Amino acid sequence: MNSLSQQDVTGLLEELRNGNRAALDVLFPQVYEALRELAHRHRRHWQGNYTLNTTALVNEAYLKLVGQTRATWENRAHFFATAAKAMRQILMNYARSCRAQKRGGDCLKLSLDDIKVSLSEDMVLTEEGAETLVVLDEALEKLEELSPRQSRIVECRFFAGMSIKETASALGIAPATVSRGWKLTQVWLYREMKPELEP
Amino acid sequence: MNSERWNKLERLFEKASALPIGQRGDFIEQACGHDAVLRSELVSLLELSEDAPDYLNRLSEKVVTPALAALFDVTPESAFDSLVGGGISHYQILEKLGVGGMGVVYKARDAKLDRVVALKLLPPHLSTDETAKQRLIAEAKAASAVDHPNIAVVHEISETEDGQVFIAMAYYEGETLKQKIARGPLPVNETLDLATQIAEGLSAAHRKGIVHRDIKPSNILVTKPVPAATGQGLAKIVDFGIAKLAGAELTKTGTTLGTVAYMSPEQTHGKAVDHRTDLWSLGVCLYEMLSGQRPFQNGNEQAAIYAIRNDQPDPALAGLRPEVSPELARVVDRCLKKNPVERYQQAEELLADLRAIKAGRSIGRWRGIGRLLQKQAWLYGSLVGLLILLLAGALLLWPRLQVRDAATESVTEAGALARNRLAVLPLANYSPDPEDEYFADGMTEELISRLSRLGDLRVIARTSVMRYKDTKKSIAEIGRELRVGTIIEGSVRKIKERVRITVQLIHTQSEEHLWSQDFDTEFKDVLDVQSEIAQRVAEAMDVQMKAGERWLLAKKGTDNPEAYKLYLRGRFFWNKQTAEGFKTAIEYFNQAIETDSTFALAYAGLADTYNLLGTWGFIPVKESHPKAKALANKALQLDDNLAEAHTSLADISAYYDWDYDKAEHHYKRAIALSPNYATAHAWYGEFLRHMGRFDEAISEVKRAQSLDPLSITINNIVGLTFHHARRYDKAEKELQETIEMHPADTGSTYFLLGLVYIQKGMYEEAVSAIQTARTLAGDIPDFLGAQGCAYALAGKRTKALSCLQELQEMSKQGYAPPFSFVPAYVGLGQKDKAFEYLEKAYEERNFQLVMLKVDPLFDPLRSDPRFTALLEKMGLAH
Repeated sequence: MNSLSQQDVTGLLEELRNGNRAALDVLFPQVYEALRELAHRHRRHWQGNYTLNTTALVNEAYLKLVGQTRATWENRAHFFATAAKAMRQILMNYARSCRAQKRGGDCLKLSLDDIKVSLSEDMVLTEEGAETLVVLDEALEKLEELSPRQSRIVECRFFAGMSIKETASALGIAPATVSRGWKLTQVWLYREMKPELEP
Repeated sequence: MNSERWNKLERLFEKASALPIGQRGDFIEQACGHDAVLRSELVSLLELSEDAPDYLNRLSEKVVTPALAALFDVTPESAFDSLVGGGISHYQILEKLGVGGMGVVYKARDAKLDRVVALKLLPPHLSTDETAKQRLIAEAKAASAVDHPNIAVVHEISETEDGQVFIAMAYYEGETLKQKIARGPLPVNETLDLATQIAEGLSAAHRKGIVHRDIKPSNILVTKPVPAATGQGLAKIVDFGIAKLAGAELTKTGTTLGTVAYMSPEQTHGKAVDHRTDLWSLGVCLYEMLSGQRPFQNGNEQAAIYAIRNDQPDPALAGLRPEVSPELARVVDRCLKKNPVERYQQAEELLADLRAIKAGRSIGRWRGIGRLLQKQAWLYGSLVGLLILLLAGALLLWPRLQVRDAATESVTEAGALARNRLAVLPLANYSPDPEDEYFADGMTEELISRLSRLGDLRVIARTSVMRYKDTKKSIAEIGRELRVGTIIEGSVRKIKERVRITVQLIHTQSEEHLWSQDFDTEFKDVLDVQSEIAQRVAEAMDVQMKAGERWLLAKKGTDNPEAYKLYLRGRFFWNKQTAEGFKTAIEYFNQAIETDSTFALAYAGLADTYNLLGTWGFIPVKESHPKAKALANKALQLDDNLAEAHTSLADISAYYDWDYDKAEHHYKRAIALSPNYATAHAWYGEFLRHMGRFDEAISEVKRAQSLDPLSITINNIVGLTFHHARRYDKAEKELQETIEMHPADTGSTYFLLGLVYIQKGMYEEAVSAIQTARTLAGDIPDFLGAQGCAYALAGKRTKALSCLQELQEMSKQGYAPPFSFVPAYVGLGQKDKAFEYLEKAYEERNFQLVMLKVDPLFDPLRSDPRFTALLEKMGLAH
């Protein structure tokens, strides 16, 4: 995979903003790689720290890919929303393959589109965990039809660990709109997921 | 379901969640009407609303985050369980002690002070914004500072760099009261002992004004008996002030954790609670300690709430356990009175009874009052309650009452700022083109003007809110300064012809966001959006609209967006209130009329402009006022419901036509159309004052002051009203306060203060006050005349004459109203001269002449037949 220049990434974000979804396909592996690489580097610093600071990760990936000089508020917001979506996809593909492989064996190694993911030895998503994620993904797809905005909000908050303020700026809406929608969305998701997960 | 339907669901869900559980049913019935699908959707969601955040949090912590961490090859350690052996801040986690509704508790070692503590981690605040969190932390710190043996010691409330809130408490060996009760009812003696200790802790906290709000067995720690002789442990109340921080308030359901079983009836109603709610909850604990069961445990939550509000605890305690004395049963009963007025009023009263029972004494001491209260509970209840509230209110408000009577209106019994008092803060202009600032200001003004038409609201006027443009003050501060319970803030972003208006409603005391909405539109449809915004705000505030108000709220001035844009620009310049601003405003208003010749508001704007140009002496009134009158008439002919045009016309009728009946009619009409229009109240008040109707005048100007508390003009009018009513001390006080409020900007206030000093015989002070006025605002003719008067009365005739000299100079070089000479001549005792200038003023139709009847300055002239004749001519004789 060839690395894109900062200029390319900026251009892709621009296209994305103008509605060219194809840009996402090009951008996506770049974003993922950047996130992964940074996560590795952080691991050394994070000894003893217990949270995965997803937001900081995304932010660093952004600066790395776009560059300090080209970083604009609008670009950044878009990048964050994209990264959140990308993280959801990565996770869900993983969960699906994991579930499939659980049935046939283990899910220690799996392929996500073209991206090889190697997992640390001790990390295996339980079958239940994988199942839960798939159910969550299905609920989110349904939510997307009812309210695309809520679906975006969940991505930002859940998969990119963004705060209400960060979510608001990534999606270009008021913070109060995010927090208000968040309440109903939580309950709605819970209701959708509940029957699926209960035996 | 489409996204519109989702939005509707979201609105209803939020409203329903904000209601106490018991009121939701009615709300849903009403809101959903025949829409059965919507109803069942709403009901099914509300049913789950309590568990959902918790579930989603767990999903995030236990599944999503670890999985993501694995994908990024980062060791996941977010789950609380894995904290053992790790650290938080300078605490080293030793073992997990328990999990509760309010978080997880660990035993930990404070590495700095080398002591063992109990470390409580509150659930992650996914849904709380940062400012709210900080406020809650501050509150919790304050509330946890009570030093008492029966209150658990809190070492620290803080958060980690990642925003994880934690509470470090003293570590007590022992168990919770909940664990104790789980093994069965407690012996009566032990119950009495523990209840006494809890009551002692509560008493200490209540004396500091701190209410726990969440007293329940799991919040009472019972230590291992230390003095082995007694065999009893110490009771420690934990989590003072934490209820809110952990989101465990019923009124904020959706995030409610824990149980309703210990809530007082007033809490289930979502009402404001006081210390007596803790006494109720202690009563529930007492009952449970004695019987091993909860008094209102009754199936599901709804049933429990019903029982809390309506049922007597059953079966009766005494019957349940023979060793429970009737006296003790009565104590429990008294704690569990539905009406707080019938309960123990203080923890000390309860303590006295508990101690008496323990000592085998009778508890008759309090019973007399209790019976009396029970007998005529409601009558006494409401009377005593009212008295207490009045007293408390008076004490709380005492300093303020003395400064501003208007404060009473804005403060409810409980001391809370009235929710229906609303301030619309200037909408922020996020448009890339700075030229579009007029548009943001215009939207603000439009929203104020529309909401002002609702009689149920008290809407702060533009002048007062504009002071908060670009302010750094917090919502709470602004709320206090304007005494409003609710604030609207938002932004306007106009990019070429696209407009996005974001509006949010915020509760000032809690800074909680009550509602918000984005409105996206093309500029051409902005007029429709405005009325929609006003209606949504009214809905969100639950305004009961009277007949006609809905229509007034929605009505549009023009269908022509171009004309509207021109009008907004006109108002923008008008608001600058300078000669130059007025000139530019006239141009824009005229252009607006050219674009839409039926645009009544634009005519009203022009009328206002000419009125002020004349009144402020920029052009002769004989030129300005006939024009203003014709324009106001034209505006009303096009739209009889314009409060602004009625006000202008009233003013011209009073001060130019001297047609007082007509003036009063139009003032009243303006106020009826826009009950919150401060200018109308202020001008009507001035008018009433000039008519000598001081009581009515004071009530009107005070109303104006309450709607526009920061306006210098209106505060001056209040001062002048007391001055003319000859209440000089009060007038002086009002004016002094206005000066304190705006030290730099109050030339005219100093001038008025000078007038008051003249009447108080303090001529030196009068001279210097007016001198200050001249320094601040320049040599205005009225100032010179009044200073001349003060000098003359102080015996400094030469100085008085030189003031007159200056006036003459002004007159020669430009214009000085003849009326301004009069006070100096009155002071000098030159009556003929005074009447000569009054006659000139009459010829000019000077508006100030209307003051003649009441202004004390003219008292030396009153006995003169010329004065009576003048009043006669002006229709002011009676």
